[in-house]
Amino acid sequence: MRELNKFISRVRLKIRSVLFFNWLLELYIYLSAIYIVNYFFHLDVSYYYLLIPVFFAIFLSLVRPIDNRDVAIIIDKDLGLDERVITSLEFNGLDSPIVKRLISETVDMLRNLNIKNVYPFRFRKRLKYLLLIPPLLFLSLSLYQNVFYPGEVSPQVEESGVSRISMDLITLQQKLVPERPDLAKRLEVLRKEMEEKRITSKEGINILEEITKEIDNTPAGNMDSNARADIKKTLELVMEGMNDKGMSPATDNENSRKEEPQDSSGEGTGGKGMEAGGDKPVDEEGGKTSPSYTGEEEDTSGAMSNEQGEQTGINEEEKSGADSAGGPVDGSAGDSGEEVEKEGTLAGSDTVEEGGTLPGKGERDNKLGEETGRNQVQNILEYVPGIAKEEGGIKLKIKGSGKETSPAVEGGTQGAPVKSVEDPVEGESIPYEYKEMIRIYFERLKGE
Amino acid sequence: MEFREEFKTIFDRLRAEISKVIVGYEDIIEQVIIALFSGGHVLLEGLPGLGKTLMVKTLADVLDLTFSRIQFTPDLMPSDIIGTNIMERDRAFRFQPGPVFAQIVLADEINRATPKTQSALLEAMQEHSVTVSGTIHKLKEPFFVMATQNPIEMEGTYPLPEAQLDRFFFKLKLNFPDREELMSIIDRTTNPETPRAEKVLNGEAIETSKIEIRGVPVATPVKDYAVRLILATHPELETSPSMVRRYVRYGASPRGVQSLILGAKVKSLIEGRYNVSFSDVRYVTRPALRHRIILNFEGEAEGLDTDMIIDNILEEVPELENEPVKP
Repeated sequence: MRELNKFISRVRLKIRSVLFFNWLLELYIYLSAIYIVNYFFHLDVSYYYLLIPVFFAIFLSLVRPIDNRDVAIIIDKDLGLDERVITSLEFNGLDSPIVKRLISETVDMLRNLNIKNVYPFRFRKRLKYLLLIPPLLFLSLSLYQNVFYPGEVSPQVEESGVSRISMDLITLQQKLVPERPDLAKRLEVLRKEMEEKRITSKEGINILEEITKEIDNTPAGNMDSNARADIKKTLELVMEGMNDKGMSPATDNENSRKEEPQDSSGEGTGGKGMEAGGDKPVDEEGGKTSPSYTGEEEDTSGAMSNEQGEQTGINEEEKSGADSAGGPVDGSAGDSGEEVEKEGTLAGSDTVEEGGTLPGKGERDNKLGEETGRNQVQNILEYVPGIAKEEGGIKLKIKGSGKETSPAVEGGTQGAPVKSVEDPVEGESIPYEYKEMIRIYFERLKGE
Repeated sequence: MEFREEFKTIFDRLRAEISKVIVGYEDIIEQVIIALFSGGHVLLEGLPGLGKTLMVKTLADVLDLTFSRIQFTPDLMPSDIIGTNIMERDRAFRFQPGPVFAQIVLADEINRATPKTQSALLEAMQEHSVTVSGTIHKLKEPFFVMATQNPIEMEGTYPLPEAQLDRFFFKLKLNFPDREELMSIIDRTTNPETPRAEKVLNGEAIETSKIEIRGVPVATPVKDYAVRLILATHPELETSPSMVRRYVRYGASPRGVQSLILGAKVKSLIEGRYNVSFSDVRYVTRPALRHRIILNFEGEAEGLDTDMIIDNILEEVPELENEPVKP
């Protein structure tokens, strides 16, 4: 009888372990389904959940234990022993020749059995069907996404990503307002464009990187160091978020199409009145953009001049030319600069009254010590080192016209004096020898 | 020799001897033997000429037991069966045993006698004794009643009451023999030499075997299965199959479960086992329960048979109420 009990115990151990692994596998199948859904819908399912099946399988093993009676029934059924084992187990110890004979017979039958052969590791039948769940779920969700949102991130993901980024941007904006209200304004524009899906995440990240650079370049006196660190940290988080969530490829394509004219204008071939990064012709927002373009005209054409003596900032072509100059506001003639020259804007008599020394790229020092650049991608004012004037403008007096311009450039003007000015020092109250030196200098430049 | 092998030998010899005379009906012969060793009585039902009486006579031939035949008729009186007190020359009453005082009693066409006469057998069948004028007369063991009845000649018959039916261990139905069996019947019965069965077993051996058989162990799940089968025949229980609830008037009595288990025990020995299995219980379910289930009017009107009900019960009732968790 001990032999029978021993055999039953061994089979019970085997069955329990097989059952445990079956339960474990089954639970992992269910869990994999959850992770697949998480993959598509970003439900933030923790990886700690991977431990749940282990605990559950242990729990099931404890809650639904298999006793010897169950094992005996299973053996009888599986081996076709016609209830010999369960009867032997129940009548164990009964002093009856029939029972004794029955037990000895049963033990003889079981003795020659190899448990490994009789009970190989096997999966429960339903596991075979359950194994189909993860691939089917994955396929169906992929199909769902491809049919309803072809080539896009699912709307849930996109919505959640964009709204979160928007929230982050608002937070960042609030932090920036006391320190750099101008950058805060740019962030607001960026946020709106992202919400309207007019901008890709890549572009957004580029803008944020530029803002980061500007914050880095902000003099220590103008920004609290703690605030700077905090803002930079937030910026990194936002950029990270944008990297993770991304935006739909369709949005990227759409925006890249919008960028095309801007790129071509950068080469000096286009830029006919189109605002870079936007669809609207410049004249629609001329009031907003013209002042800055005026500055650029001066910068790129090398001479703030106009035959009619009119404010050149309102000239669309000139503006676009300046826009397309690619940002190197260094006084060298870009395509647009040439274009302006062709139009006869380089009137010989026209001079910049205030010394003709409007700043170039900002690399040169000048009297005003202020200069602005332009973000060619976003057509947003970009501030290069220098102190912006609050009243936002440099008064320019164009010689020959007698008119005074007040471009009211926000944060300053751009442009640099160039060689086209013939005798800018004639009327200046500087020593003669200096005047000569200056003249010679410009003559040399002219020769080049 | 072990009891199991001994019993198997006896069984095989009995069956072989009966088969010399009776063509076919292997199952019926086996079930008759099961009933004999279980200590029960058998009701044979079949059309006239199918060999019911011959089967009983043959069984009596192979067993070294006293045999009597009672032809039941409407005018048969109980005293004609159990016996009566008669006055002798010395003016003293002496009990004259009736034909029931034999070891194998053939109650031929039992449903032709009146219920009064039919019930004269009740005590004999159940108690193996007869009470006449206040005196109990024990019947000699083994006592084995085999009754026959004709299912179609209903005119002038008295269907057996439920109490009487319940006394029968098995009710066996003899079906019409097939073509080959009919050919064999011709060969065996129309030749100058008719086959005769030889005696194989005496009463003492039967009684010893009966005691041994009762010692065959039955596991709890098997007993539970038998109990659930009996409960499933009761229409008043919600757990019963829908067919039972609709067509059955009365379910099987506790005698039914006794029949199931005792019959299964004998069957297990026939199968060479010392324990009862589910299959043994299933094997005896039909003969043990078919006369214990009473159909209601709807069942009768729809021409249902109790065998159909039993088949449905066997399908609906699982062997194990709670299957163990299996990998």
